[in-house]
Amino acid sequence: VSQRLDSLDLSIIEVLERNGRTSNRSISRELGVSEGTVRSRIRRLQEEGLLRIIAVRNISAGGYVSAHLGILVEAGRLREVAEAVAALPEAVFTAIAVGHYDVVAMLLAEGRGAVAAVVNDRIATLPGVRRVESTEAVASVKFVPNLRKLR
Amino acid sequence: LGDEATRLDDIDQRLIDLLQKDGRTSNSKLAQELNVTEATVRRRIAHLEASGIMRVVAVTDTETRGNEYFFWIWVRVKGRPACDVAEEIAMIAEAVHVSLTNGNYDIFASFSARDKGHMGEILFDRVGKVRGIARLDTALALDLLLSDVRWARFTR
Repeated sequence: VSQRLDSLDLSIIEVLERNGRTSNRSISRELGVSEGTVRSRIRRLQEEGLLRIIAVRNISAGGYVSAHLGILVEAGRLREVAEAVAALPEAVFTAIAVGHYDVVAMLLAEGRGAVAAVVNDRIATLPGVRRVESTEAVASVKFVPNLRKLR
Repeated sequence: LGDEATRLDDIDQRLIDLLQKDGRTSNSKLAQELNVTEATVRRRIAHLEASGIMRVVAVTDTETRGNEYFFWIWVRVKGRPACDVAEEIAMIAEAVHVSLTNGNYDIFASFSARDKGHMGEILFDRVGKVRGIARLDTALALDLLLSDVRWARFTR
């Protein structure tokens, strides 16, 4: 556990992981601290970019199709390609990688054709892209909401 | 979930947009912004949550938990239903995202780990012991450019 979070921070986060709209008053009662302490802890964590409390959409509801992409890129054009992929409105995840692929990304779009179109028309055609392997998710088995890179 | 349950009207969509900026915006402020009553806001949020479309949650930065390593696996399955293998991989606490996929691989999964040792433990002691994995390809994240907080999977 990082030195940035003490056990009270973690307890507050735990309550908010269950329901982000739990009132400060109710959190303070549950944890036995003052409302002001809860308020200032949440504010500090948010200001430091360690915590966000937001609405998360369910990937398994609403007809969205996700695809996991592994991209092989020409030497020297890695960042350029990764940045172009990350800038696509359909991209929900993009990283530069070492291993089986050079860039790993996840796309989300409405309907099967839409994902394929983005892959074929807007990613495969990027300068520097050697090969795009795309696998559509048939079903999402697990995708935890509480952990992301925020900073 | 059927289409009926998941179709969003304009108010739902705007409500979600506002809550994706700040999930702790008060009902009265939301009501003002959307030009509806507070009771409507309360009812809409309850419905979106109960039908499994949206949830307001705390999201913490990966590094606050000391998880500096992020890696992926792509799995080909043999001799066992892919969904069983995926469910077993999903039980590993460090698994962030597990999908059943089409194409070259049957399963895609991502994990977060504290350090190299932890990563090895997940790969060899946990994933490596799951029956039915015929082939495993891996990659390690060097630089995360985009990690969207607005999507996840949850059950009702």
